[in-house]
Amino acid sequence: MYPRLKKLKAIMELEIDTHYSFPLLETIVSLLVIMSFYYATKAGFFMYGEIPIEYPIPGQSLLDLLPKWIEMGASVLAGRVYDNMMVILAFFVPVLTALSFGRDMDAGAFKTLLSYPISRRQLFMSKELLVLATTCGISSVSVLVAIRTFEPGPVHMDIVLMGTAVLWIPAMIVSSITALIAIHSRSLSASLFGGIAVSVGRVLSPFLFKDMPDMLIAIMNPGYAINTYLSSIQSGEILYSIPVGMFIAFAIGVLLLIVSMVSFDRMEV
Amino acid sequence: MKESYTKEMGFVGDYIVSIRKIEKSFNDLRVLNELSLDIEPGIFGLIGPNGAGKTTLIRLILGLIRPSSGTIEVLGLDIEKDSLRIRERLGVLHERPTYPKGSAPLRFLQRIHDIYGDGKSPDALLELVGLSEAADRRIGNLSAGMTQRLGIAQALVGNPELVILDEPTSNLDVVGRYEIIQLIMQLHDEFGISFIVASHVLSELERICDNVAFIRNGTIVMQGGTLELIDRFSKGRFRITTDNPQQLAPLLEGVEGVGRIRITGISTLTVVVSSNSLVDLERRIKDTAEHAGIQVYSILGASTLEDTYMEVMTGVS
Repeated sequence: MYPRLKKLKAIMELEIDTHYSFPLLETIVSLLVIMSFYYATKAGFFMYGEIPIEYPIPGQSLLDLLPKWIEMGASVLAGRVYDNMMVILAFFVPVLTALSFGRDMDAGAFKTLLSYPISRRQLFMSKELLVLATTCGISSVSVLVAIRTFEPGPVHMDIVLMGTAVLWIPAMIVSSITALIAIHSRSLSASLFGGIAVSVGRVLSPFLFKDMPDMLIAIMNPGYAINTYLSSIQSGEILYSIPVGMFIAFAIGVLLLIVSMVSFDRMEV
Repeated sequence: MKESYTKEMGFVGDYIVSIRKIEKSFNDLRVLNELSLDIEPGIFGLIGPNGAGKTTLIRLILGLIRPSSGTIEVLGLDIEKDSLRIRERLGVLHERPTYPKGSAPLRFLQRIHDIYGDGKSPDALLELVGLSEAADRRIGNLSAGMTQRLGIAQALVGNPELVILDEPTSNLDVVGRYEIIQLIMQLHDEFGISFIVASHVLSELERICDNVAFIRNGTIVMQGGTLELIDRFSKGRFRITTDNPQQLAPLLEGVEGVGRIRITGISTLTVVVSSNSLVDLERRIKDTAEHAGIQVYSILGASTLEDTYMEVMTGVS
């Protein structure tokens, strides 16, 4: 097992050398997201609820404060910041995937990579993992930091899980679709524009189609569904649709990942 | 061939590559047509015009594409079942390869070394290919010759028994070509590595290849030892260097003992002769030229791989 992991690590390092010449930019963006989430939410509390900026208050958990938070409208502000993070992810995930798969396809780098003793599955998984780790991994840290900001005590794992799943599941879907487009089109531009179109379409669809069923919203854009529940409607139907929709989205993501991997396995280089 | 690979000894068979009735089509276009080829250890040249199927054949050997039908064994292993094991024992330099431009040669070779898990040290490899001084430079800033030498270095990381080079001297100047050819010969002599070299540059292949195969329209039209083929196809063929080959060619058609005539350059033409007395023939050719006021500088045997290639390929067409 160890040599395999070592090989996977070596492929990822080679991949970083080839495609991730701008991790600094990604890091800066993530730091901005963390800072904006932290300060904007704090400012929201201060402005709307006259809660001192020294918040968090020791001994009170985030869940205890949620009704008050919703009542004073600070959640709307925090939600918007969270939306911004979604938009950043919606841009970075397809771009990195398109660069990783589409550019290698365009430049003919796959024939060099696959001439080394690397299985296609190893190469596919290392590329996918790297894209998701760079985008969602860093953003997940942002979420954890933000949650810790409000809740210095024991962390509610359900909130953490929900916060990270909202990032990882849509990213997995978008990344798989972008990779599929790259594999079949063999073009960087097709995968880049196709991936961004899918990603932005996914984020914007609940805004564009107001009559969209709750379940579909939870599948397409779980972050929006959660925001809708917290900020305004709070209906039981929406609450029920969120975990179910996210589970369905996860299943779709896994399926797409498998389809992409099989396509990559059969691809002629 | 089934017993030709052993874990202890590596490859011990007669052929490093054995191809049987391979067919490959892309949509409706048939690129390889029932191609069969056995390649012995040594330096092997795969020669053919653009679009003949050389690169497709290399991609098939590497398992990058799958054949429509037929079988390929490399180092005694089946490409369908043992692609990964084959690639552990193989090095490849593709035509127009792409390496991480922002990385340095030493760092890049270290990554490849980690992928193989074992093999030659990156420092030793850079020294071997003469890139030690450029170890920490950006790959994107290397010259074409240096990049090609790096390509050979990355192909050698896993201590391969066989190295495949697809157009290794393309985009190189004369000195760069010379250096690469010398390097291939050195590696073969010092480490016993076998090479398959696909190239257009026949003068280079003639210097280094033990065996060659001519490929055209997806089929091997001729295969054999380099010297044996040259000897076989260049008997009775002479290259005449003159100041006016266009005018001389029709005049030579009337000279006794002169067969087929082909203008091969602005100052050369090649003739096939059937006369037994070459001294007489040479005199007759020079007399004919002199009468027409044409200068003949030399008449020499046309015995290069290029002559052989032209003879074989024009014969096929």
